[in-house]
Amino acid sequence: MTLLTVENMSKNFSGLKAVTDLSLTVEEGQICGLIGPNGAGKTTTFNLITGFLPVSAGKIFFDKTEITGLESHKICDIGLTRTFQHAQPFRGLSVHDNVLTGSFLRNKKRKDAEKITDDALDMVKMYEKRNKLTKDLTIGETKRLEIARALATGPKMLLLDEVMAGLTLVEVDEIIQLIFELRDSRGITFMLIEHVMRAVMSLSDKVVVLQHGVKIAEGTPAEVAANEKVIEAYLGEDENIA
Amino acid sequence: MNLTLFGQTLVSGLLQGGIYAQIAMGLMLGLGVLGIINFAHGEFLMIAMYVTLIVFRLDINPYLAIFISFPLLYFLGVILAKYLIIPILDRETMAQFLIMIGLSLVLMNLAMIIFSPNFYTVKAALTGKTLKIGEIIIGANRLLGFAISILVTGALLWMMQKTELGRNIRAVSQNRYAASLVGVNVKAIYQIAFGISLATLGISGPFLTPIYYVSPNIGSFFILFAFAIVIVGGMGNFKGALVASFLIGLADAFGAVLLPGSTGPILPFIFLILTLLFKPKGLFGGSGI
Amino acid sequence: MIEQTKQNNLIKTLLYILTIILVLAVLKLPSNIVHVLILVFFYAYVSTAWDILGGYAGQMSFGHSLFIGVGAYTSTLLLLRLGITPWIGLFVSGLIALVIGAFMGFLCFRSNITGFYFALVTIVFVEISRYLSLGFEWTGAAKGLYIPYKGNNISNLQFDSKYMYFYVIFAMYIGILILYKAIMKSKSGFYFLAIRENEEAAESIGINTYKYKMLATIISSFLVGVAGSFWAQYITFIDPYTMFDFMLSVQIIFFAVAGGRGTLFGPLVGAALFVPLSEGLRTMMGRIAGINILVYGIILILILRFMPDGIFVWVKDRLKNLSHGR
Ligand SMILES: Nc1ncnc2c1ncn2[C@@H]1O[C@H](COP(=O)(O)OP(=O)(O)OP(=O)(O)O)[C@@H](O)[C@H]1O
Ligand SMILES: [Mg+2]
Repeated sequence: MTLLTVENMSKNFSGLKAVTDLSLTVEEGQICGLIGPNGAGKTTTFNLITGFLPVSAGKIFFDKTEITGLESHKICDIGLTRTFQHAQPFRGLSVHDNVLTGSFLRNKKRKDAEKITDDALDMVKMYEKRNKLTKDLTIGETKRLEIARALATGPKMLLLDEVMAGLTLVEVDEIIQLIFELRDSRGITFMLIEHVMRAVMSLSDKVVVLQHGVKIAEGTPAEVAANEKVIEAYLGEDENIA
Repeated sequence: MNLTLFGQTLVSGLLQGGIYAQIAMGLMLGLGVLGIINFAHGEFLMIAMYVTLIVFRLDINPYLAIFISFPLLYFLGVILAKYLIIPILDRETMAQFLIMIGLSLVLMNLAMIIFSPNFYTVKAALTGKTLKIGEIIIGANRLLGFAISILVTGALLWMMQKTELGRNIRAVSQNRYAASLVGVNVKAIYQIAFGISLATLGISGPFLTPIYYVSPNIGSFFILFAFAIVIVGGMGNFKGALVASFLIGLADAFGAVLLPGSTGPILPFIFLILTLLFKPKGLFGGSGI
Repeated sequence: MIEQTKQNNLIKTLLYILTIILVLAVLKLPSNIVHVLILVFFYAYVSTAWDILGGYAGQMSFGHSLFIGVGAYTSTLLLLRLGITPWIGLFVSGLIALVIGAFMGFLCFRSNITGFYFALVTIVFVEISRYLSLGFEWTGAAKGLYIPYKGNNISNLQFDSKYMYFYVIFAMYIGILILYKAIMKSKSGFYFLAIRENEEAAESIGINTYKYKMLATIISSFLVGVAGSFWAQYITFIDPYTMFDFMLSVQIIFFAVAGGRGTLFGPLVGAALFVPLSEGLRTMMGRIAGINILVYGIILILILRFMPDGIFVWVKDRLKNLSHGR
């Protein structure tokens, strides 16, 4: 079943075309990679899908309902949640309270919410650090906290914006494992923006490539890696594809 | 309301609007660059007015006070930016705002202690003289105050658009970090911009003093209108604020004529609420210097 | 950890004992001291109510003197014009304050006006109310309204001795503490905090930030409206300048911020420290107009500049450092 459908979506920032006529679909249980050079419009795409920015044109459907123009909290409520490229924890709150705040979405009672919280913290291996303040966390821990908080809202689909940027090799492997685990045990569908190509290539069932706001390629990791246009787009970039 | 009264109110509203514009522009320069609303902005006008009062009491032409108030306020602006405002730039909005309110209270009440809560008047060369256009009478002091305000506003806008300094100020207000990368001394710009923001009051102060009473509360009288202007104009939009100044000035003047008793001053504020109701982003929503 | 809970329990017990002594001692205290105590708890109550919106949900309202004024005027007008008992007036006051708060919130929050723009709008609301109450004979205009003394009678909410007023405001304060604590532990409390810390992130995890900002606003304005009625009953005279007063709003915020925003006892600590100081300054230097507020201004700047989390937390941190040997 198709979970997410984006139809001819565009976004202009007073003249600048950040996303142009983008269409894509993500199947239930799929892991979809979204890649492209800096400024390609990846984060903007996430912002549009999750209602953080209004679209200039186009339609978005999630789980058979149209979500174009819905407020972000409503989109989260029907099961589509995101993380931020620049981690945005609630700075004044402990790790536990950050995640608890997410758990309240589907649990009115404190006791139930606490259970979901512990579970989510456990999942991302942050349970031991639950009493820490977010300002004392490493980058890797902060990113895992963001995932846990999003997870606590009980999403059907998670959009992860560069959760592996700035992580050590070991941490990257942990996150890759975590994503597989969440997909397999909870059936969560993923879309991930990632510059760490090793991760994209090993995780994704399907990769969408953006350049200057336009989709230039789509396919399996192997297909995309062999695509002329993609290689050209990445020429001069630091990252090396494949 | 007959035609003469209407014309008279219209003219005085526009004159008042010009004066408000100048005060609001200075406020918005500080807001645009430092990202802080200078709650004490009105109190700095008050300082310029007390300087004028002192000069007047020394039997010197009060307009000459500009040679003290202009450099004094610029200097105050630089010092305050350096020691009070820059250190709190990365604090939360609430802390910033409360510190600025503290500053306003300190200045206002210092004036009250030094000069007493009394109202003083300053007489200038033009006091008592009027200009008649048909049936409409315009006080000469008011006209001069208006003219100077428009000059100051124009000069400020010209500086922002056409000079190297103005470009740097705009660069910093759009993106501190990027500006610093291309070699703009961000801290210096903060100080200069805040200095200029207050210095505009140092220029106009001596010319506004003969129009109003000098008292410790004069700052809060102006600042409320300036706030209304900033919001009606679209929260950070300079062009919007300019237009809003005249609208608020007109609302002020017509309120005094149309509304009963002492409720006159609410008309500009009602205008503000209506703006928020029907144009929630302000008349010219969005920011930009 | 266990040492600490023991210590906390000890402190708690001590606090309870102190409270009981205070409550009993009021009967024997001279009335000027009881007056200061009433002021302390009145401000502690109002600041705590402010803190639900300002400290907890992070929306900086300067409109809280408006809610006090609206509460004071509502119950007083109901009493004077319609003869309705202040006990009903108290509740109606809260409701009217709530409606005004909701309108204020609606104007600002639906278009995401927060931070100091929200503060500016609330200031404007206070101004409007003052001019309105000045403008009509029916509301007493500049002369204000005077509540005549009809004898010691609980149904009038009028007493011949100060200590009864103390017990009323003290009970109200205990009530608001319980409510505040309940909010802190609830879903709404966590949502308020999330909004204060990061609205985008809050939206991303499904929080309807508009709805919860409105909720914080109406809870806060209702509670303050009720306090306004009490206040009118106690001082028996209200006028536009003392009710719809920007400085009153500043004071309310000041106590919460000085004591510690977003904490249970912060507002009480702030009020307990600064109400007596303010009263003392007023009586000692009453002849110099302005000195009272000048001192406020200086303390406000110093506290915010050097103790961002308030005096309570500042002292606690110092003590902790001491006991850790540095
Ligand atoms: N809110 C905004 N207002 C104006 N322009 C924006 C805004 N957000 C993004 N842009 C512009 O849109 C373009 C695409 O930005 P976007 O953040 O989507 O890129 P990205 O693919 O996520 O890049 P990166 O890999 O660096 O994160 C950029 O040119 C950016 O400057
Ligand atoms: Mg991005």
